[in-house]
Amino acid sequence: MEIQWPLLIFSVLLGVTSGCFVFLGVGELRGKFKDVRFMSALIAFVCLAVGGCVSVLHMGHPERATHLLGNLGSGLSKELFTVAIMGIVSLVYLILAKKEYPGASKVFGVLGAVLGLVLPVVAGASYLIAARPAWDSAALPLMFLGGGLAMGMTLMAGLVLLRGKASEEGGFALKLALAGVVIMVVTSLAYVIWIAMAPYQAPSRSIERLVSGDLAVMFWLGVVLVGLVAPTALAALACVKATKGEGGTGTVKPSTLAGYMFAACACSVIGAVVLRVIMYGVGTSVEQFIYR
Amino acid sequence: MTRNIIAIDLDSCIGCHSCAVVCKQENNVGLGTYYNKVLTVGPSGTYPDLEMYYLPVACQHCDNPECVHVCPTGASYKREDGVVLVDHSKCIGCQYCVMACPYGVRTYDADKDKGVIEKCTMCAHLIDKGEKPACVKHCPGQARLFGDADDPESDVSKMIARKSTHKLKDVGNHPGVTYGLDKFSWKGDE
Repeated sequence: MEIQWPLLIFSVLLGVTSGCFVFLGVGELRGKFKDVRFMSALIAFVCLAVGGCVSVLHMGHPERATHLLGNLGSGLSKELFTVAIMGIVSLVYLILAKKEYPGASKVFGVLGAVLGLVLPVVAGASYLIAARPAWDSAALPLMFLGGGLAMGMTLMAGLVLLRGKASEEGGFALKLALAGVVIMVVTSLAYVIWIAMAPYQAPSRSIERLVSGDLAVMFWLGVVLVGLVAPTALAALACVKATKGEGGTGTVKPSTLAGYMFAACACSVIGAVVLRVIMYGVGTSVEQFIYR
Repeated sequence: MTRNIIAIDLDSCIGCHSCAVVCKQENNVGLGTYYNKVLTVGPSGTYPDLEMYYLPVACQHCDNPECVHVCPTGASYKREDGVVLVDHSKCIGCQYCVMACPYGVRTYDADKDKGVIEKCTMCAHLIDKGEKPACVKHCPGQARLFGDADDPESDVSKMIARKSTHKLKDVGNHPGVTYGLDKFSWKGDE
């Protein structure tokens, strides 16, 4: 099917929000990242708001949105409500981050983290449609989740290293970012494997398109090299450099490590976008009798 | 309970495209948009044992329509008589139903005055007046039949009883349109 850019951008930005909040939630539980939580929550909230606005461009009649209550069982309705709840929680957390309410911050931080784990899964689950075999697997929402964790956590780790207590919290932030990147690699590859084994195989949605066909350049360069290998290498390198040197204090400056993290985040974003472009490319219906 | 379907005797279909043309006229379907199209299946086999038939396709008015399940506003709905329709006053043009259709027979009309989903209506405006859908009424080979699948005396039930019948690939949606084909082998499962 044609690339649905508003939905694609929405899912990527929503992923960033998700990863940010999972990072912040873990930080709240461990009593870390207080110096950056306002800016982090602001970034997460802005991503969600911009993504939500962009997704509206996909609709022919957004002014009829009141009818969205017409079928609460629809994946799109569930997605809308989850986004709305996430928006409220992130806004409350954003306000709390400016004040000193440790208990409330922890509650909303953890709530945000739980929603951060749920949100990409709900958004991805909207694509679980039997008519599009290349989408109809739990691997797709998990791929959304993995990409979100990598994008959000690398961004947050960079922020901690640049603006937070880098010497005390930098190591933990880098480990979280590396974990997010590893989850992204595993879930992205799982989705690619699904494309290979999906039912109703057809040339338009075959793995050959990715491996050696018209999508090969995008897949090998955009997804594998830039989207998976580069963030993994950057996150691993940052972790190693942060623990080497005299007394395990690192061999490079935190700002340099922050650069590694921002680069890993940018690569993850590119990979997430390209993988979604491929997802739409192979998302053909079982039969395409009149329209493609 | 009435379960209106369209049954198509492919052995009688001459591939004249009358159904596609009259559908456009009856429903004022715009340029480049189709509710109904006639495809050519084949030729297949090895000379001199070649096979070819015509396959008219449109909304299948499925028994378990995924387009209805996924519609966030309830704009896509199934009537009690089996016809699947889109209420344009509720349609937000999210195209979720287009994604959910296994056959690619729904389309988004991007025209700024519309911005809604278009598809075959089984000429609901005609059947509500006791008439047949335009494609059925004007089929010169009388290949297209309309009626209640639960009534053994209906045209569709009689055709189903006397011919080998086939349906398009079913991914749980249970397509309603029934194709009759005896002369050639059905290629729909390939």
